[in-house]
Amino acid sequence: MEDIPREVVELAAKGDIGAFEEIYRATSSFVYNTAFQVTRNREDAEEVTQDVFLKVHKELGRFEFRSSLRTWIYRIAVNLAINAYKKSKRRDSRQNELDENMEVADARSRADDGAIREEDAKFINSILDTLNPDHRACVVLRNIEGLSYQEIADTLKININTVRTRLKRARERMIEVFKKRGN
Amino acid sequence: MDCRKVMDMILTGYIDGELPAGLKEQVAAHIASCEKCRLFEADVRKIAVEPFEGVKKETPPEAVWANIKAALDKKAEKRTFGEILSENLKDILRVPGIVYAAGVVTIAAFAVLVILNAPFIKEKEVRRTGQAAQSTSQAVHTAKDRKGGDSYLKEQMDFIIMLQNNDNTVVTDSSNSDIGAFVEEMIIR
Repeated sequence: MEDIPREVVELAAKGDIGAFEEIYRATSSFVYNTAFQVTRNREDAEEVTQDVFLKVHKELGRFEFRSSLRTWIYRIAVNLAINAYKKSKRRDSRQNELDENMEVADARSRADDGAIREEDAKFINSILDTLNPDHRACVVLRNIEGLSYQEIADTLKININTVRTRLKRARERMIEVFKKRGN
Repeated sequence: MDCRKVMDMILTGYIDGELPAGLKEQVAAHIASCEKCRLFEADVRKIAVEPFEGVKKETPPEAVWANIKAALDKKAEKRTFGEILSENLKDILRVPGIVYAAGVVTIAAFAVLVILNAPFIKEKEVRRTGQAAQSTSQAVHTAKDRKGGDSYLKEQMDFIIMLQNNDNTVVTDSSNSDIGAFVEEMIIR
């Protein structure tokens, strides 16, 4: 992960909106994709992205460069995405059904782009739904965002062995669900 | 190598390229010679890895940045003095350690001076001096009343001056003087 120059961070912390936009452009794709994969809902992902950057802007003056800025932003993103997912789980069943329809539509729309096969898109949607948010976050960070185990550990502030355990359990669960569905 | 251990490594470090070189080769050699583990590796790749490979990375809609910017502009208009100070506090506090040390020493010295010259301390000293003088004066009058006569008084006054310390307290010794006993009595009261 290439980090954002310190001067840019310091300028943004002093209120330079141009510098802050630079940070946003460099990291928003990660934040948005992670939020979407964790929440499984596009609207929630947009809201999480907005909340992440407002929080980053508010806290930037207190950032002490002990970790990379990206790691810090990604940590905020994963935490807010997990919270949003938990909150969305508490919504009524009607809303959940609506979200599910939107997710399938999202998957089709992405499949139309030719970036991903429709069956893979549906499979990712259904398989990620069976994972708990912590395991899901690890899978997203590893399989979609391509972070190393150490980067995942730093982002989630967990031990590298916990990363390994979560990925192992998540993948065992994926295989179990896949086989139960008779594929 | 045990199949169970190999499967655990296939699920994580092996498939993700996170095993040390030597161990990776051992696992690969085991997979090559074990059909069960070979099939397992194929399943893991097909189910838990390959479906994610084509996922397109998206950027958030432009409206998200517009909303963030609008929220920040609104916040900037409402900034209080406290917020501005807190945002700049880091810069204000970013001074070398020696300056902090000098500041602490200056504050400590100033505090000592203030304490030593504090009005309440002076007041206490004045009160102590006043009490001693009052006690002496009362003792003299009492002695004068008891014994009568100015010559006796003069004699006893000299004695009191001898007993007075530098700090304006009166040292009394009832065994040496009648008036000493009175002074002591007055101070105790």
